Amino acid sequence: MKRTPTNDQDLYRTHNPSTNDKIGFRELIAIDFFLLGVKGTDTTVPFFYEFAGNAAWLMPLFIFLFILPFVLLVSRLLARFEGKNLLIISEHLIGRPLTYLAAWVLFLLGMAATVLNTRSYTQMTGIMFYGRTPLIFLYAVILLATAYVAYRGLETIGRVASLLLPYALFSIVLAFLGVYDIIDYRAIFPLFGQGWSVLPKTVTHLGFVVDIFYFALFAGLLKSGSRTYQNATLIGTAMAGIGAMGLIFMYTGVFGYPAVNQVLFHYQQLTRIAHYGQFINHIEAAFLGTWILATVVHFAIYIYTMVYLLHYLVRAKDMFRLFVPIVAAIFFAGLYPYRSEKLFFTYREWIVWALTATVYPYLLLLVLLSRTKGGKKRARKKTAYT
Amino acid sequence: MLAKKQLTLKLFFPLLLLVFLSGCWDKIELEDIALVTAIGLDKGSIPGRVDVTLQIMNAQKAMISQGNATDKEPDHINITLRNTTPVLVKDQANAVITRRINISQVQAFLIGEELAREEDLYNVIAAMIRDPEMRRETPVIITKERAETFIDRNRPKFETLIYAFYRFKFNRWKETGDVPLSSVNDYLRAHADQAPYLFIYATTERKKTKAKGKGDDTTAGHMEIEGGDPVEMIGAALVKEGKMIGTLTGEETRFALLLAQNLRIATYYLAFPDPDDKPWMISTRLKNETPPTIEVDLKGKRPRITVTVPLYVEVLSIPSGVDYVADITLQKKLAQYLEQTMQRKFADLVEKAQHTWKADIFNWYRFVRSRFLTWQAYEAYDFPKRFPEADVSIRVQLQMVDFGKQMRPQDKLPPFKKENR
Amino acid sequence: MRWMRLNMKNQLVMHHEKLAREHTQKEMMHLKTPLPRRLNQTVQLIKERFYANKNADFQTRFTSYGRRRAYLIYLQGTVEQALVEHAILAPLNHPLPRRRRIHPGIDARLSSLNIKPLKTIETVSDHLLNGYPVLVIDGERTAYAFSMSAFPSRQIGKPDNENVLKGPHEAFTEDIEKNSALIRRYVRTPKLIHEMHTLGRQQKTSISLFYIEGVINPALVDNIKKRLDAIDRLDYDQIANIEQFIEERPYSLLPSMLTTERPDRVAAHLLEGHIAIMQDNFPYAYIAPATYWTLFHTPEDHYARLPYAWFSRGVRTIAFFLTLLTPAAYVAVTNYHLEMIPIALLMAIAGTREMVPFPVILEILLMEFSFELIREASIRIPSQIGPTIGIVGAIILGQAAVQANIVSPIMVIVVAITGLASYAHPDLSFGFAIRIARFFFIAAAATLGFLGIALLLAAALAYAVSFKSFGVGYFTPWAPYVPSSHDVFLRKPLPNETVMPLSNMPVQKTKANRKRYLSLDKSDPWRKRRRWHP
Repeated sequence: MKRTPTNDQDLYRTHNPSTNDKIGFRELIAIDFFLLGVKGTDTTVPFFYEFAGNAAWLMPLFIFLFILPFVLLVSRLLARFEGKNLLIISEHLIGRPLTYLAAWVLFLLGMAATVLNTRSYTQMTGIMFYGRTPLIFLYAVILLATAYVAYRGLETIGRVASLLLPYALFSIVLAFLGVYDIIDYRAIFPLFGQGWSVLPKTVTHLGFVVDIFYFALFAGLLKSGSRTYQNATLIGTAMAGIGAMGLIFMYTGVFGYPAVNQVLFHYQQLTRIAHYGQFINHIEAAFLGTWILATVVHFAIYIYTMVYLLHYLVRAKDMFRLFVPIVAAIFFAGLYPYRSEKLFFTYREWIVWALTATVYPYLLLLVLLSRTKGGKKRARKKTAYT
Repeated sequence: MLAKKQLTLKLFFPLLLLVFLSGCWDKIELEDIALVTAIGLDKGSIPGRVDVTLQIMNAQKAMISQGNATDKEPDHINITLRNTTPVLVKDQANAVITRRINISQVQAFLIGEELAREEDLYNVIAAMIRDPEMRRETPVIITKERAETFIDRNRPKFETLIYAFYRFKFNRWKETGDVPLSSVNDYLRAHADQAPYLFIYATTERKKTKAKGKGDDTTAGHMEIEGGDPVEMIGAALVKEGKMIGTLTGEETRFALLLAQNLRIATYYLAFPDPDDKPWMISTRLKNETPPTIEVDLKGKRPRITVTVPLYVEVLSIPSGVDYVADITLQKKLAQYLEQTMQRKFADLVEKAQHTWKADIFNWYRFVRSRFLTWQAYEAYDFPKRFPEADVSIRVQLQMVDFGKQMRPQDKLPPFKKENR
Repeated sequence: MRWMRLNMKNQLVMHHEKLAREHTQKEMMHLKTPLPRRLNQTVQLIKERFYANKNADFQTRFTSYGRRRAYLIYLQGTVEQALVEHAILAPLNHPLPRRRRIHPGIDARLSSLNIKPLKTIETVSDHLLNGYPVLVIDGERTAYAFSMSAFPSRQIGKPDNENVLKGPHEAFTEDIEKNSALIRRYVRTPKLIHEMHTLGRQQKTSISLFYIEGVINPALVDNIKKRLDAIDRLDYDQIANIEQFIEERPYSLLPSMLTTERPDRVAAHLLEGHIAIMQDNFPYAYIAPATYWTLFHTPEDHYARLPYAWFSRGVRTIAFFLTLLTPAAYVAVTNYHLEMIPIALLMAIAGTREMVPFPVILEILLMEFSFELIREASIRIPSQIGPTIGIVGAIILGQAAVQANIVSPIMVIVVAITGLASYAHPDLSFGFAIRIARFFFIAAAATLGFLGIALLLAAALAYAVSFKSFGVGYFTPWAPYVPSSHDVFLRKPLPNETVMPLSNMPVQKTKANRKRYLSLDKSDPWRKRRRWHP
């Protein structure tokens, strides 16, 4: 994608902050927020309730603590090979064939997750708001809009995300104000919910937040490289975590603990209850608007990542031609009917297990090898502060 | 390149049009719907089935300047579908209703007492909420007669459009606490917690009662009031494990809510017999600005629950003429009397809850929860089972704030003249 | 970084030189017909070129230059007649003293005038067209043009579209020289460059570029010159509007240049590293690159005091969303999400809707179309009966349509609010964009309610943020974030605006002496900011 500048027009291009095809600190924070924060509104929440019971609202904190060392390790790895994407680093460390294998695994699992999640979001919208509209139509329309946003490129996604971030945060606050008077905060007690059993389950389900490590694939496209990656990922993840914690706290407080297990689509049901005084109530459709915007950004990054991986795998000349096959594949795979929500949860869990079992060891392997094999030593300090 | 762009544009617009034209499955036109205000549920003649009553508003009555076109139309109509289930109602009703039934603006669910006492209420309400149009925050009222009859008789004098009746009524109850504000969501929450739940209790059967002078210490239908709207709404219906097992009077409801910390800042009027001059009543205004503190001690064999209720009292009128205002000792006596009276009332209610109903109507399990670290430990303790044998002590901390806006009970002489004398 | 920039500069210099070479070559190619030596031939050639036997404007005046015959040629009306008589013909006809043997050159003879020697027929005809009287002398291969053009032109008036309550009240006219003078009045610096390019075959259109050397990024100027060159090579008959010739995306709804009729606004943009493009006979300047913010701001935002400017921007932001989304939201709410309407209002709307025979979507399209009709008609309508159109529109659309039960009363409110809000947007082009876009939103709302609106909004946002005007992103310096004085939704106090918007990549990075600015508060005890003292 990158060309060496040949004339002044190209120099104008490369030095142009608005056209240099890179994303910066703010954009990455926003992207991380939309990658993870939206999970506080979807089918991840029932998993949290299953693992931690009424302490589900602490799950984002747990997960954050678990992935914190990984983020630091990965950003150190990226710092050693400053300005390079993860796959190129991987090629250097473990050789091309193994990297190909890893990329295939990442791609297939990512596709499966994308298919399952897009489908589930569509179903959520369909059931809660558009009961008579055929699912195929909803799915097609949502995918189309998402694919269009993804097609405009990574920096566009980043900019859209950074423009929408304040509104997303505001809508969480708004939701809280709307349900403030019916929250019974005592529902979060007993404080530790299901107790110690939550730890192993958290570890096996770290795949829920694997998205931010997928983003290391684009490490070369970050404005200040690994430093941006580390800081923005930590801040963005923390923001998303706090957002998700707030949301799950609201679910617990509003629906009550054992009763919350009966609830499907927590966020939608919560926004249905939100009300502001006597006359402004039933405004879930307005929340639907902001939620859909967040969803579009969320899946746009997914689709872009998938296209990028496929681009690497098939060595396509033009990355943007791969959008059509990828989106078509997601669409047709997503039409595969699974009848019950239960089955959906089973599939989701398998994928999350698989992601946990592959991505984290792969990253660890890279980090370990980078210590012995090449790269700049103590590169982190040098690049970080010059 | 431009030609290519033009081609894509030419292709794009028909496609766009196709998308727009092919949509609209969920589209509804406003004039095409029938808005349901209230849904009544009664016991059907076949076991397991219910009779569903829909109250449908006439939208045209909302317009002021309609002239004579709609004069002959009723404000709202009621239809009852017998032996059905709530989910099926929306379609079945169209046999007799012209328009699409829309239940997104339902103001209240009404449930007949008969149904509440005999069938599992949880199943009925859970079935109700399955419809995506239903809302969890919808208030639920248990009616003494059949809900069908209630809806039929409920013709408020001032409200042309019936939705205003429910809305205004609930707003008023929010402040007095004579009625619990029961909603579907809260009920589902309490049911999952194995806790009893208080529903609004209302009736249109207003009778003269033998017991006189009880004020709001009565249940719906027994108030000493003449005139007004046909509906009398006071007190609560107690539902435990899905079945209605009793009723609470207005005063009991208020105390139950107060002890459960569920009555936020509320002001309400209470009258007590004058300790010095029995036939007269002292009217007071009670405020619970700070919620009661509830302390739970689970160390012993039986759970000990200590509730401290701070109350601020304003004495409004002292018709007996006893000078409580100036005389400190009399004032102390009055305070003590009020404190004891309140304490006794609370104790009576707790007694009733523990032994008559065997139900934790004060939701004290919520305070027990925070004593445990894990859910397993809490479940093992099984507080709902232990509640009836708990040691409950309630202390009222009464504070006289003032004596209303008048200086003296008789209000004849300003105090400085008295001093001069 | 630095060496890259230096390298870039060298390349730029080289590029400039190359351009200059190309330019001279082109000039050489145009030097076609040299002037003949004999006067009769010369005059004949010019007469043929101008069809003098048919053309009433073509004037030749016989005179003499010493002993030689000479003709003064001009196009009537384009020159100042009195000045021609007075300053050229009178001195020429005045006999010279006999003892002067050597005839003085023309420069000495008419020394007070600005004289241009011309060598070819083509240049002579160009100068005649531009209002120069040309003196042709027998026996000389050079003709002389005098700068005394007097094209009729309008006086400088008040701006029509960009009114301000507080601030300068001057607008451009059709005369490029006046306009240039206006700009110079606001930017009095030797660095202000006014470059003129002539495009078009039949109608020679002069295109002026204004920019400030040392502020603007030279690559931007180059880029625009390249585009002008490309147009020039195609030899268009006329350049009706330069904006549409040099913009990148002719089909896009979004404008990539800011159109203004205010010299103060041009000046403000030039100082921030933009370039202004003006066309002769066109009373507007185009400013490039334009971002959403430049289109959203008005000059008054900087003339009015800070809180008032914020307030007015806030109102405009809301108006933007009202124009774009009100009708769509109404359709979405009434067709899909009717639980959102408070029940009292819902009943009222439903009651009025019972009488209306059309579905909501048709009703709203009908009303919006009528509104656009009024707007379109009121521009064309003769100004004498202009005011009546408002009354007619209000009565017909508002009152009568409701009484005839064609539309519901609430619809009139919706359309009126939308229409009013659409007038709040300062930029004409962008206003068009929003007004057109709102129909897409109505369609999306009619298809899928709020879901449709949100999806379209996401796509539109993705399009808008990736839209570039001359290489500058539409939402810079906000997304992507670029250092600037944060003059976006709100603005800072004027003294605090010290940083250039670096999204234009100006050579000069600051607007003020930052060092002195930072020490400003300390030096002046009255300006000192209040700080917390423990």
